[in-house]
Amino acid sequence: MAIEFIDIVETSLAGLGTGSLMALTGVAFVIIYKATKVINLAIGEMLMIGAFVFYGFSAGLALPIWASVPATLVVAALIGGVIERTMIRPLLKDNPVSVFMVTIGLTSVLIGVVELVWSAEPRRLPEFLPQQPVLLGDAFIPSKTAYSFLIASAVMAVLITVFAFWRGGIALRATATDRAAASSVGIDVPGVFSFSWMLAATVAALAGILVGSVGGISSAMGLFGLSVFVVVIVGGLDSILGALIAGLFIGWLEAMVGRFLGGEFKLLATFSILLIVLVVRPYGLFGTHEIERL
Amino acid sequence: MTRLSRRAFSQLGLGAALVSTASGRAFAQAPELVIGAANPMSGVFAFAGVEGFEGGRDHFEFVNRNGGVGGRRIRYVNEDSGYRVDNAVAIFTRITSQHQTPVFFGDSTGFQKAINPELNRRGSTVMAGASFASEIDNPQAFPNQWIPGPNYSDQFRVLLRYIASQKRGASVVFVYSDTEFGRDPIAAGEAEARRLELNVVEKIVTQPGSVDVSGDVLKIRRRNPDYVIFHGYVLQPIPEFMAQARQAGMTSRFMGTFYSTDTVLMNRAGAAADGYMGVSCYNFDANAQGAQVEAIRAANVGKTRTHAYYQGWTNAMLAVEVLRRTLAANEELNAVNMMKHARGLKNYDTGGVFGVPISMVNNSFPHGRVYQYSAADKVLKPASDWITISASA
Repeated sequence: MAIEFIDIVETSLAGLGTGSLMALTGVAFVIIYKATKVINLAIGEMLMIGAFVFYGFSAGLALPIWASVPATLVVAALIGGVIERTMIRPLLKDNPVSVFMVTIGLTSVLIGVVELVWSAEPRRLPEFLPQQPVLLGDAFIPSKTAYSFLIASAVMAVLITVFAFWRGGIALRATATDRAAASSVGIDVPGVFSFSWMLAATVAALAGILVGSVGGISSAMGLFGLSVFVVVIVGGLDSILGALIAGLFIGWLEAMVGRFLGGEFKLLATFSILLIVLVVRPYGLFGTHEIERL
Repeated sequence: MTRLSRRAFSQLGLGAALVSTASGRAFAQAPELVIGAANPMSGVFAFAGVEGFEGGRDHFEFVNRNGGVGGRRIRYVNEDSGYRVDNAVAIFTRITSQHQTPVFFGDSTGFQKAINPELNRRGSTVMAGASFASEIDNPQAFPNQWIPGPNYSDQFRVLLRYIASQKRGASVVFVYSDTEFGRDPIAAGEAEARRLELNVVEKIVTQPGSVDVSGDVLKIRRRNPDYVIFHGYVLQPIPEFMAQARQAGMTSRFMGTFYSTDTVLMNRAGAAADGYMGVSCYNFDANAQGAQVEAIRAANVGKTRTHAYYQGWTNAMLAVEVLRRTLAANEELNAVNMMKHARGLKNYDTGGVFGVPISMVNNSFPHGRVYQYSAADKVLKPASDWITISASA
């Protein structure tokens, strides 16, 4: 079958939709790394537990969407804060490998919590996004893809603005640059750590709600984080802009490869890009050059 | 101080030996028949493992209440495998070393393939389980295992024969996950489609657990086939495919194989699953008659059971029948004898669990029926008659 231009346009738009969700999750990862230098391997599972909390509010308690979403984000922030305070902060003075290992353990803990509370059965989130398809000229975009893209883009725009101009964002960047100097000018460094985890958990939960609305939820949905790690490594571990651009690029690439070569080549393409970036620019496309690799 | 003479000592030793021998003999002649199982009671397949376990458990309780097998009670020993091959192998080794275990239920294709050489070496245990893998449906390679229904290739054949009966020359798209499970029936499906003069216009491979369905929906939309057959998924992403395809104005009918055809899962998907068609070997007719379906209803008042429950019940029912026939023939419970009686199951009346009498062909029971899900009624309704795939297929 001949490839038509409209095919390329539609597939590109679909890929950018998925890529925006990768970018949003990647931003959650970067927020934690930027503030605390912790590589959080549990970001996919934080996304998962956010989706399940939303399921609990919207399907379990049958709350309306306008109440379920903020309630989920509040619970996610609390979860992020508890994780930071009880598991991460006590280890911050230790070898980074210890913290890294804790985040690996955290993945199992979060999966276990979800399976204990909701079981391991796959579920569907209540439909809350508009059902009407979006048409851009002749190009068809599935509604969830289009609205997920818009929501993710709006959230990322807000985050970028906040980090650029808000005092809290400046404090976070200062802490990321030099903890001792930040502390000496009165910045509450432990508070910044807690804030970064709470904010990242909130962003991850929002991504979880959007990812779950498209593909359903299960205790295995944290695997989505695998593609996100590629995104943040390609973009640069400490670059929000890098996560944004790499997320959109990886999403687009996977969609194009899946459409024109076949789904079995998606991961091959993604990880080939990862290898090339690691060889050519090991700190990522937009990452700080001094990053110490584990 | 009392002194023990040599004679007294010998008599005590003889007595002790007789007591231990007698107790050992009593132990060896224990009336229970032990059936082992490694079911995934936790992890991603727990939803099927728990139901499968309970199906087997309920059937054995039913059998025990009715006098057991040849007067011997069934003892069902199950452990959680977590859907991990290494766990399942360890459970198999533990249970079979602690008990004489004529029948063991496995949790996956991976485990059933991994343990097969050991099963053949021992020659004392036969196996059934959760797998419908076409590879296991080979008596030469897997002489001591059976499949409680049609293998995945035969499930595809049932679907394709239904399609051929509905529309001559219909166009079909196969959508399958990039896993051993997903790829299993694709080649056989293509061959069957050619034989039936159906047109397979596209094959779409997705990552397992993929959230990115929109690109694949676009691919199907370009083809706009008459039918789309899914394989290698449990529930997701089928409802999302269907919802997006409807948004795109497609009129294709969506179909799937055993693990994606289930009332409970469809009810969770709700309106998005309305009209979905799937193949099953079990009888979901609420008015089905027979001793076994009545026993299932009695054990599950007010509950809707999943496909996996019926699978667990069927494996248990077939195991009991094989044990019954072997004991009735006064033969040793070894793999050769048991499989001889398993292969002797011809036109066997399943008491309503299957809608037709079943016969073992190779290692499976190649009978199936196409059902269609009605979201309004929350049930799977028969869309075809029972279809049997012959050995020559």
